[in-house]
Amino acid sequence: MSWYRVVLAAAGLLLVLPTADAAYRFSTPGGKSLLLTGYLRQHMAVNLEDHPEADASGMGRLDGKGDISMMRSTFRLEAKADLGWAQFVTIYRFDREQETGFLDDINDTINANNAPLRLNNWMDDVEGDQMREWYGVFDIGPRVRATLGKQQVVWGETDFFRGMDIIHGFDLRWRSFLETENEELRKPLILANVEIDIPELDGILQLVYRPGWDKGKALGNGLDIRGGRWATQPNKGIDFLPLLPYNYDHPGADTDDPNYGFRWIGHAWGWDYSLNYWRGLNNDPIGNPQAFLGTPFGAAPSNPFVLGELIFPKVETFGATVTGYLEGVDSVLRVELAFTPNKPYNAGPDVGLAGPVPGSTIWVPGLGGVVERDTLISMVGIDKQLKGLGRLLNTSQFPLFSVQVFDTWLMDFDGDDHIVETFGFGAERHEHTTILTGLLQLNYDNSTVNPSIAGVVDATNGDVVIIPALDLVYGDHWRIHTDLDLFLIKNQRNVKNFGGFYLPEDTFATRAEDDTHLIGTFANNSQFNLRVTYQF
Amino acid sequence: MTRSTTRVSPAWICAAMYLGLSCAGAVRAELAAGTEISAANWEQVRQETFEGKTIESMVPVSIQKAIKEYNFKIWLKNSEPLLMANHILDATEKYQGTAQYDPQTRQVTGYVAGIPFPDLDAVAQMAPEIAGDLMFYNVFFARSLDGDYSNCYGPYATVHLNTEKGVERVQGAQAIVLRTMGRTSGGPHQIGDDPNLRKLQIITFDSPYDIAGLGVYRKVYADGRLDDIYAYVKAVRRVRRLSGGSWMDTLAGASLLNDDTFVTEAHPMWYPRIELKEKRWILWPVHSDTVVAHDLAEVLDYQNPPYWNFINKNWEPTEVYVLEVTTPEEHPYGKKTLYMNARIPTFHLSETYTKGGEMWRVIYSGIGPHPYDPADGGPGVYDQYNFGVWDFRSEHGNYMDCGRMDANPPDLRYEDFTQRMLVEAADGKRHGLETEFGEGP
Repeated sequence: MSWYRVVLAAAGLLLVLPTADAAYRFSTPGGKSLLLTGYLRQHMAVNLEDHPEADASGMGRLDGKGDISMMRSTFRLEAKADLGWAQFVTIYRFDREQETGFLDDINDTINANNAPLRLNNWMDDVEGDQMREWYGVFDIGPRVRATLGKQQVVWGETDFFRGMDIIHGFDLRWRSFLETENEELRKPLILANVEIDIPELDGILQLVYRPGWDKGKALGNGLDIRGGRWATQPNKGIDFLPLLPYNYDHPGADTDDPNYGFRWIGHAWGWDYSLNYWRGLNNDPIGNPQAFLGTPFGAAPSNPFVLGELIFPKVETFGATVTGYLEGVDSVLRVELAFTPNKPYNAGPDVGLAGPVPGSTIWVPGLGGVVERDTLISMVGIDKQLKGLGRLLNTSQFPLFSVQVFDTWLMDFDGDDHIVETFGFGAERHEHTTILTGLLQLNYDNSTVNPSIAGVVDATNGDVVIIPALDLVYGDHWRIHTDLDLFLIKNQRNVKNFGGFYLPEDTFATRAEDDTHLIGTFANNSQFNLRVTYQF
Repeated sequence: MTRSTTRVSPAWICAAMYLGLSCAGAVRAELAAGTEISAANWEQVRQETFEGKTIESMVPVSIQKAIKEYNFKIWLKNSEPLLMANHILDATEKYQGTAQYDPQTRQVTGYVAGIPFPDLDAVAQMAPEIAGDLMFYNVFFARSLDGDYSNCYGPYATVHLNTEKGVERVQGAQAIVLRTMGRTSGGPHQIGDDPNLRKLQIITFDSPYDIAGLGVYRKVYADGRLDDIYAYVKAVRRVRRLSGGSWMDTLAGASLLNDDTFVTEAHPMWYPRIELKEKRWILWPVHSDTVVAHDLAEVLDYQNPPYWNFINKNWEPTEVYVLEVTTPEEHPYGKKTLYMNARIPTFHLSETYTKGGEMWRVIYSGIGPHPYDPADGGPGVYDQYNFGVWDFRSEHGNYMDCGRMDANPPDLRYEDFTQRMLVEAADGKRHGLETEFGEGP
């Protein structure tokens, strides 16, 4: 396979070049420099639970406990050139995956289920090589700096979830939300990003403009709707894309239209604050149904052979953040608010099509229509160093404890809207959805042995994710990361045996299953993850 | 503070010793400049003298331990006067008496520029805990650094060392300090809007990959407030506020606390008590060779066990005040002993102890005259060109020496000195006039 040759050639190059330090730097008189840095990385994930979905025969289950669900090789190269009057940054990433036995089973199942409607393999979506970022940074006079090109602009103060970090969508198809370094998940965009110092007001005004030159697929959150490794349960093995394609040209959701916004970052009375505005796209895709299923969102899908289409409607969001250090309790406080008027949601939990077997229904909850509701996301987080615990556990740094409450409030909520919480699942959204997250980070042996544990608790619905992790540092080049992703699910949309065939539990029910919330869609995805990195 | 030091003549001391009872025995041999002192000859030379004082009396206990147990070597050099640049002395004279210490709050107000409490002989006569505070404030406000703006940078800014395994990790960084209060290199003494802001400081890493783009921005205040600290984490592309209590946390995986940077960097009021213990002579490299574009092997013996010894051939007798610092309850150290030069405001050495009283870490810093800059006026000024730590409990050490240091380079203004510099550094922007570096490990 040719990609192996590329990776091996790159590895050989790195091992042959003599180096005093862990990055490659070339300098010229006058202060110009070029820095090359990056890594070679091998990811491996192992299923810790059986998957209940049907296999290719329809009469067995996918199972797969103990099987390898990801064997992914990555090469990343960052080049940073400082020419004095400007800096130029390019970031390249090359990903290849091996089709493991488990993935082969999933792909066979997709082939069987999607026989008449087969597209390319979903794995093509998680592999590839991409010039992730390329941009120049230019000083224009003493006060203005312009960053032009494909880049990431990150706003907000929230961890795990996102309030104002909404300029970019995330690619959640290859490792969902579990990769710690979210710069690897964020989808970079072609932007003009201008920052203007206004020291008279102790702040910086940032103006961001997206001319709309990106490809459609660069926008919005990329979810696994193609039946792959990170498809929601019970959808592994079914590629919904033929029935629910993306439409990047919808009049209310055209990805070629410009997006724009600004941020004011200021400092007052010892606190840092920001005010934000972004007119962009709703990062979560919205299902725009055919008229026979529900009420289309503006223009109905033009292709009559689909159930609906996925669109990223235009929305505008107003945000504010405050952060500061509270000396009395020796903690950093983070607060974020993000208000989106008329944010679109899918509604209609019991929308379905008559299945091929009499009495059966193929449920497509959410395709009943789109409801727009004013939405306020609020986050309060506290980061605290546990100095006493450090002495007790003999750590080499103070243990860091971070806890955060993240709430989504539909301000003009009306139960009669029957908004679904997660598209494709019948559970209705509550007025408030509140999620607690916590993180405890420990460091030993000069921060070369770093265990941590993170937890995510859906306080509204009772689902929990626990992520114990261990990061090991060997010298300048080798980094090993392992984690366990343990999903403790209260309610899940399961798969049951109906006369020898494994089908979603609500296939013959009169209503769609209605107890599975966001975290519940990850049921049975608990896994062990190992990541070995050679960095340079 | 005087413009030249008083040299104590060895001959005079010897004559005095003849008259006293303590010299009833043999006349001790006077060692020659250039003599190497090591474990091999420690027992022979410890009672011998250099410039009239016995070697043992001039080597702090921690350095004795390093010589005897860790193969550390020092080389004798005749002492020379320690002088300070005219612009610092002029400011000291001009603003003498403006800085006021309140023994109730332990706060200093009214500081303008120069050394706030220059008459150390008078200070030493005060109550020990007041003398300790005032001496500490001298370093806090007027630490011996050449530049009002200094930039130290290089590909092996931080070296992690293990006494068994040698070099473990090497990190490239730049550390930029901008003095906002008490400036003497030209222009106003104070810049910026906040009259209590003492300095701005940025440390950014550029290698290896996992910390490349990691940066910390600190606003340091004069009034005893904890620092405002921000970190840029490239992996999530966000600037985060950090806890002001981090001053007593470990510095990025090193065997040092943030507090230990350049021996000690905290505000005096953060410690419950700082007490003057004594004035004494020690051997210390206060006239280190100016090292330009050096190979790391010239300054750190990282190729030979125990790998963590720094190399300096200019150990000369110099007079110091010894301060005992009581740490707050949650601080990892039980106490620490600081050695502060009696002539110029700088700490040379910190001996830190566990809560149980065991010697834990030794933090040292060499100092040398910066290349003469006519703009400074008068004699040379001194920079702390390195610092390092030996952790006797973990047998892990660090050596911090950027390799290059610019003083008052012209490329940065106060207005530029914002958190944005963290992002710029992550984008590859480099400050620093030099591009040539020596060989690293």
